[in-house]
Amino acid sequence: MSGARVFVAGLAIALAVLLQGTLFARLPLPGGTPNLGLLLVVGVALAAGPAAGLGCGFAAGVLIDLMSDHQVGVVAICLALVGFAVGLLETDPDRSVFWPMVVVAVAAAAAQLLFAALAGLLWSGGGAALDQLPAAVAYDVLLTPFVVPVVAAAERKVRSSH
Amino acid sequence: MRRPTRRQRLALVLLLLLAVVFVTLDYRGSAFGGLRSGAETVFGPVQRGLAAIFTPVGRFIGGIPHVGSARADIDALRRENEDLRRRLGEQSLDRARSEELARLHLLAGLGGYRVVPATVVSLGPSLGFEWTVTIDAGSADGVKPDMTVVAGAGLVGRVKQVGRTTSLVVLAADPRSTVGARVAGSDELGLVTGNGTGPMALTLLNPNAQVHAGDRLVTGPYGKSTYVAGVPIGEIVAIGGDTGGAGPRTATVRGYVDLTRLDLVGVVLAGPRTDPRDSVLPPKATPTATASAAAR
Repeated sequence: MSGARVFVAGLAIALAVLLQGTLFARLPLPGGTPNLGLLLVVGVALAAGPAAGLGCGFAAGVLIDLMSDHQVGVVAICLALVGFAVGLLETDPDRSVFWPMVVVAVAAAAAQLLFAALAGLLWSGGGAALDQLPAAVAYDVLLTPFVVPVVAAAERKVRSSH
Repeated sequence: MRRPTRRQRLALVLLLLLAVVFVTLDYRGSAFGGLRSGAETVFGPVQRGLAAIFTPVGRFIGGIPHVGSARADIDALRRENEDLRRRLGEQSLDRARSEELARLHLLAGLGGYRVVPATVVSLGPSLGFEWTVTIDAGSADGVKPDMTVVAGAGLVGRVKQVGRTTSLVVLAADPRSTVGARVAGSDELGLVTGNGTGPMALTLLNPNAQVHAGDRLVTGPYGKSTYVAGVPIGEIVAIGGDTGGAGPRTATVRGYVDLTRLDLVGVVLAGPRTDPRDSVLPPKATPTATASAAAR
């Protein structure tokens, strides 16, 4: 990974996490909230493969952990695993938006289940994360056509400029 | 499906191990205190800026004007109309906020608390709802960790992490939050534990304590808890089974503050010199609720 790619990815991660707290988590949506950080990680993994998905997931996770009250590393484990696994899929985000939506649905559910399991293990707080799973997954899928193609286009642009 | 290369597999294992080490370090102590407050200080101003842009957007989410394709003067009239309507909406919002601020001042005055007002700028960015919020007051305003956070109606939570201009607040609804409580009008003590979106749970220290639905709770006792004493917490809505003195008595508690729609809050910088006891509490809700509880 070149320096420019890391820089752009870091900027995108910071922006996604900040927008998540200040805008998306505060939208008056019933049942749950979409997760922009997860969408970004899935987008990067689909466009650039398992190594990029892993790195991006780990970095976004650590940042989310630092800005939360739970132990640092919990969300990092969830997003790093999801980023790596999604990166192994050969789904081209440029061809159609249907498969990315399916991938996001599975990835969002997996990340949330993993988080609930770790939360239950560490501070017996898994229930709250599970309550929100169906609505959160639905919102993530609805946002996919707006996030994943943009991430893919940005990744292509950064790659071609080097 | 692609097969990961050896290097990619190694990177996965190493990063996961690193994350597990992070969790272990953080579980055992506050190894990340410096990094956390660093992140708070760096990102706090950005969060404040974004909140300044998005909070009005969120508030007017229903009032977005439709894009018309009619003649120019119709558009102009519509714009004027929208503008007037928006201003009306803003005025009622301003009124709601000033009423909330007045309630906060009333609570501070009744309890003898010194309070710095603050606005919620961000919710927890984690997976699933987490019971934390970021507020726009920090060490520059005199906020320190473990200070009590209140709203006009009562207890909100306590400060966990302080940046220069923002701080992270753990809400009383967090399942890990425990607040020392006293039943108003008596000296029965107990612990109120958060339960997410559900009502909070009260565990009384005295197994033979006489409590009823409708009894009100305040923080306390004075000087023994991290929370400042006398802040209204909520009302008992139901009593758990009578264990005949064999186990602790429990009850469910409805908080006075709706923690899912927080906006204006106050951080208690300094408590009163003497315990305000029950003086900050709102009046008892309805006599019928108490009567039905007595007939239980």
